Amino acid sequence: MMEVSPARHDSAYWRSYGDAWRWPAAALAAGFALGFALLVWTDARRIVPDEVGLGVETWAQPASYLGRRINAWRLEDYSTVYDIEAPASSGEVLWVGNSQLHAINQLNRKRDQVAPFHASSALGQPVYCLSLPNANVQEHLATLHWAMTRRPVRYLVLPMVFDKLRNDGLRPGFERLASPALSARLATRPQGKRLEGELADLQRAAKATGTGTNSQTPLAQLSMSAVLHEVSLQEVSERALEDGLASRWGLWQRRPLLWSTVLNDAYVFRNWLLGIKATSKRPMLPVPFENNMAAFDELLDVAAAEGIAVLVYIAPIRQDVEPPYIMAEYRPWKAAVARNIAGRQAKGGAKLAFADLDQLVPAGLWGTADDSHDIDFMHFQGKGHEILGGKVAQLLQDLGVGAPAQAGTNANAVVGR
Amino acid sequence: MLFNSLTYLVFLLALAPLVVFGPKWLRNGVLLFGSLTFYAFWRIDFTGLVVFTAFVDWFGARRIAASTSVTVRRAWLALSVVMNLSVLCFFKYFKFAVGSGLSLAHLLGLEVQLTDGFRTFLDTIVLPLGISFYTFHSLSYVFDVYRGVVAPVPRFRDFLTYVMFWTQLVAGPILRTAQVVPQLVDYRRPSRGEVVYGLEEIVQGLFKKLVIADQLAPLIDYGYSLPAGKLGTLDVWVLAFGFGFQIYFDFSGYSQIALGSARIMGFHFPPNFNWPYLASSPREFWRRWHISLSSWIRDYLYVPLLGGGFQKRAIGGTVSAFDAELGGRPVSEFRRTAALFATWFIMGLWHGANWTFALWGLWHAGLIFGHRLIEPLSGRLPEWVRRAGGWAVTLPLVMLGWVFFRAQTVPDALQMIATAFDVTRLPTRVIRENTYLIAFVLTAGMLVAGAAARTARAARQTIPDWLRYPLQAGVTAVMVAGVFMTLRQAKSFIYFQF
Repeated sequence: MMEVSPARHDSAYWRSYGDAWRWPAAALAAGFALGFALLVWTDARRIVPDEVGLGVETWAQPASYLGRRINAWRLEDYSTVYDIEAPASSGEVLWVGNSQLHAINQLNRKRDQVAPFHASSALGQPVYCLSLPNANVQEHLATLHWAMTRRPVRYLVLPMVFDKLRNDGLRPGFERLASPALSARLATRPQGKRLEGELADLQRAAKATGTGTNSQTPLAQLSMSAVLHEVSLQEVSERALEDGLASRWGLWQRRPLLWSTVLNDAYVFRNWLLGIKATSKRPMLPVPFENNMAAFDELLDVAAAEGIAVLVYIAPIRQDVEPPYIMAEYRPWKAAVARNIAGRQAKGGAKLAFADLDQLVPAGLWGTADDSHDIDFMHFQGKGHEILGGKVAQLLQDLGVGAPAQAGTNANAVVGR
Repeated sequence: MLFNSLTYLVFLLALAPLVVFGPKWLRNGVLLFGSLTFYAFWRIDFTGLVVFTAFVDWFGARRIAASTSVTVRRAWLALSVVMNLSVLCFFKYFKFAVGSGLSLAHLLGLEVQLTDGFRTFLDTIVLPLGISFYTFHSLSYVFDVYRGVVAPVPRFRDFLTYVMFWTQLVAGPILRTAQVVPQLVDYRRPSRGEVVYGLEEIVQGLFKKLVIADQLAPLIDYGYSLPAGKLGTLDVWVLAFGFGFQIYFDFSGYSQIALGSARIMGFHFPPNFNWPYLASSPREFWRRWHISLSSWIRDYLYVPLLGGGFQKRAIGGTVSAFDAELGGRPVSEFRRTAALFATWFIMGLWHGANWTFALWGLWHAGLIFGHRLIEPLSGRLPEWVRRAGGWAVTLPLVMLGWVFFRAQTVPDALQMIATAFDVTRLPTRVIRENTYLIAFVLTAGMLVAGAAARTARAARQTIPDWLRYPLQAGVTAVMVAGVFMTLRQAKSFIYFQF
């Protein structure tokens, strides 16, 4: 006969509410009800993650030139904008960057266009712009490689934004760009190889969460993969349940946005608690800085090897308010970037240009600078975009891009927040 | 199947009522079928391996019980042990052994090359989910039958249900036959109070896993992905504490879901965690952390290594005392120390096929040994000084030990440990800034929550119902909302890899 476990008499084993279960049960039920009320409340004030970092005065602005969309600030739109089917010109220009290129402060929807549009107009050819919020140089390197797998890039415009060198690696979502061709390109150099590893990690994570390539795979095909042990039965069932719920229940579908809202609340709370403001000085982080500068070097090497002419510029920052940079870090960095370019220019080879544009946009063309909200150091008004677009076009012409053309041929820009 | 998935919630919702309200034949069938299905959702083909090893152990145990010949009994025991350990070693340690052999050959100046065919063969070896856990379940049964602590289970179906019961199959708790089979044979429906309690456990477990551990993971992963030589002193300590909390919330969350799932069906298993980071000595830590494993290791490894043989003791329960199992038999200090280090070396390797895990085990052996040395001195101190001081020393040392557990390589781990005590690297900060803040908040939160928990029982008596239950509802609301927003197959539980 089986020995009865002595632990049966252990209270930890048998912990229970016993007969007094009604109030705990009511509390549990009320907890579920309140929890869903909390979700509905969060849903009512949910944020759009891509836009929340722009600030209260700033809007992202799509741009089109000659009937074609020329800018994208979400990875899922990259393929549409940098379309493999579209005719490529011998002077194809790619402009990579961060939200400064797609967001306009105090947007006038009828009048304002983003800098890539102005550059396109000035050059008389589309300047394609792939600009992710807070993009770092490692992401620019991966983006250039990805673009090269689709169309030949002849000119690259690369803004260097000091603040973004605090960010490291590739963000989730980059796995959307993954392909064997991209992996093969990345694997040829050290920084690219590191990024290839990150891309593989992102693919694995996306597969596990059902947000990666699997999420586009038809359920029937996924089921067949399970039979072949390529995916687990759990992945198939999870996809079926997730798809079923998401198609019938909007709140379920919007869960990622709700969670982003909660994280944003936590971020705001942290800043309030620690007294962090937009003007707070942000010390550079050594490892992301080194990785980004190594990626910058490698990007220039890749460009030289591929015969791509590169325009590197220090991005504009507002000058009427003390910037959040530590100047003892910022100034030497600018000098180092300039020295790097000068050294490469001295060696000859591929075409390279450098411009320090950090004072390009005058003080009056930025956002409101009072205590009513956080000061925006990154995004300027429509006029500022015009100045930047014109300046970049001029520098590209100096590098050999096309000829000046008539401005204002586009009327296809879509206005949106 | 992962607990933190929609699939599991649907699975549990569908099967639990059948178990609770169904007739005996249906209940037994559902428990076994459900457990097989649960495992098959990971890989159908490996389900056969679990059934095979369980059958050999069940059959072997019957032969052991039926025989009076010592030779025959030992032969069947040996067969079972060899079979279990062979399967475990092949799937879990073969690649590791080959890799270590190659490294050793390289050190000796021999260049050994693997053929492409052999490399391909190595790549095909997949670690079966939960193999370390179900092997221990099954082995402990054979040992217990051999030593006469339990009678053999008559029906293979009951034994297979014990080994494969989904609430304990892939990551524990490691239960003994006597803790499970009597409950299967002599089933008792759960009371309403137990169901409420079980549901609370599931919600809490999911919250710990999804909202705390999984959100902490990217910060910790990033820190450990950086070159070890670039980290600063504070970085190492923050990463050590950060991973300590991540693995605690991950694994204790898993255990709570497991226990809660069992509880709502009327099964009671012992808790696996009991505020481990409030321990005031390394030994106390192991009475509070992964309790079912430490008691298993004590009963089936440490005590036999001490020469105590198998004890006439059915249930591990908590590790009441590592050394109190010898029935007064004198043991030399050398043997005691050797057994301690050997046990922890094996315990480390059980967690993973990497020398980093072995070092983690030895780190804990060192802590316990060190505590043993200073115990006579600390015992003279006032109780509160001993406890507070013990906690202040134990917590950072246990946390620092996690560096071995999480680092990718031994050199990385050693470099990090050295940096932890290198004051010249105090000003260096390279990990994400939020990591410092979160590690601080979690440490402070643990202290506050620990103090609250210590007085919780008293509080339950003193807090009036009109305040207690609204508070309980509020906490549940936050947990439910958090779980709703984050529920997905984001990350499998850390202990699944073992």
